[in-house]
Amino acid sequence: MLRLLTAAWFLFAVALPPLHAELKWDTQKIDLNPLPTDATAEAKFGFVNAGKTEATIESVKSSCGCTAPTLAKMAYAPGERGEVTARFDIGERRGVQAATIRVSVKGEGEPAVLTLNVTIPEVAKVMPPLLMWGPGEKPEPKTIEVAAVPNQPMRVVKVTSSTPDFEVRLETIEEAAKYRIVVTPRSIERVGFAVLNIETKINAGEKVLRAYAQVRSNSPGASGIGGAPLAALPPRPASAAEIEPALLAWDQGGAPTPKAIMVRAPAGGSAKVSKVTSSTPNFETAIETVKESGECRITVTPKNTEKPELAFLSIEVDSGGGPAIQRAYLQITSPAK
Amino acid sequence: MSNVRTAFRQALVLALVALLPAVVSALWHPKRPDFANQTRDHEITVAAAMAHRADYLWIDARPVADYERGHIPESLSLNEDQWMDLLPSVLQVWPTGKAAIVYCDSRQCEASEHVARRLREFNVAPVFVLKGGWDAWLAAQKK
Repeated sequence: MLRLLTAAWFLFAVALPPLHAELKWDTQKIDLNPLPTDATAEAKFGFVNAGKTEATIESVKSSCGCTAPTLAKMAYAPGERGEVTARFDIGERRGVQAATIRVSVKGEGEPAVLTLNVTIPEVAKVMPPLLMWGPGEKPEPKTIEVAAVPNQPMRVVKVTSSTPDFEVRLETIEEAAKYRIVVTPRSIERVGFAVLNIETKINAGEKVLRAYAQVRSNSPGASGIGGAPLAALPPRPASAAEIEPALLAWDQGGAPTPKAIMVRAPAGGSAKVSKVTSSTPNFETAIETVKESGECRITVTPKNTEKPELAFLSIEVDSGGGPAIQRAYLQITSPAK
Repeated sequence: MSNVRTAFRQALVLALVALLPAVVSALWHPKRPDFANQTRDHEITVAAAMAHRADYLWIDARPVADYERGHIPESLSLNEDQWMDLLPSVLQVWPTGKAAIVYCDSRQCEASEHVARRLREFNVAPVFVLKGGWDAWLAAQKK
């Protein structure tokens, strides 16, 4: 009896797929590693019609606009080979990108799922990618570092600003490895925004990287760009206190242990926290002065961590120019990724 | 050889015997984990986000054509296809310290995760992903 059951189980497991699929794929998953300068990457998913009747492909659909799948024809005789060509448009994408292609065959239930994983390599690291000057800040130079990634020498040949409101200067720290871009706003009196085009050369060719420079105002919409009307939460001026970290997180179901947020005075300034309120009642807060010269600790304790939740703290802090509200965020997340 | 066969057969029987209660638990146990519905790190539910909607900068990571057909009010369009074209408009209206919420079609799409990851590099404010995306937001409006 046991032998019979075992044999039946194996037969069931082995015999089931052919009953549902006429197309037999060489592979259903392809990993691509294009060069940093490539604009597209292409994969070919070969198949054969392993059935006894003609296979008619009804549709080939991609999960995203980044991948264009094509087929030479839609009908395949028994034993005939074919292939789905998937062209991945790299464009301005970065990192590991996954796309799936669903191939539906007439008369078959579930479509075949083809997976394309594309790993787009970095040309270089640009840190920080955005420089900001706040109100009250002096128009002093700030720097961006452009560093080559391991095993790929890179040269920065030119840096230009999209507007004359920012002056840019390129310095070489280490030839073919590390560069510094010094950016200085010409004026801090009015808002300004510039795209910094960083022209690089690597073995595979040329690539333009981007960084951004911005003089911020108290009014988010004041830059004159057609953004949506936003709730008035003023940008943090340079004279504002530093809040570290800006986000505290607890695992759902984990211990509701107290965690701390430090509020520190800006250089040459002060910071006194007068009040802290949470947007939800699940978080208790306590303020403690660490240094009279301008360092406070806010201890946050969740009452429970049973449900996922997101809340924010309104921190009333006086950095010398009167009380202002600054924000920090609290989250209870599931431990599962 | 026959010992190996016996051991294999017994292991198979044990696996099959264990499979039945496992399936029953996974399907009907009252305290079974809701794997499909768990909230990931940096993910925010529609209910939590809507409670303070104006306190977030909303980013639509879907293709521009989808955004133009309909989007969460006051959201801005930013996707990886047109990253360089769209990013400056976002950076110029994104106040320091104002958290952003990024969404795409549904929980299956990865565009919001990619866009959120890239936005975090600018260190303007925390960046969250809307759980369930546009589909979940639409469903919440119908309730």
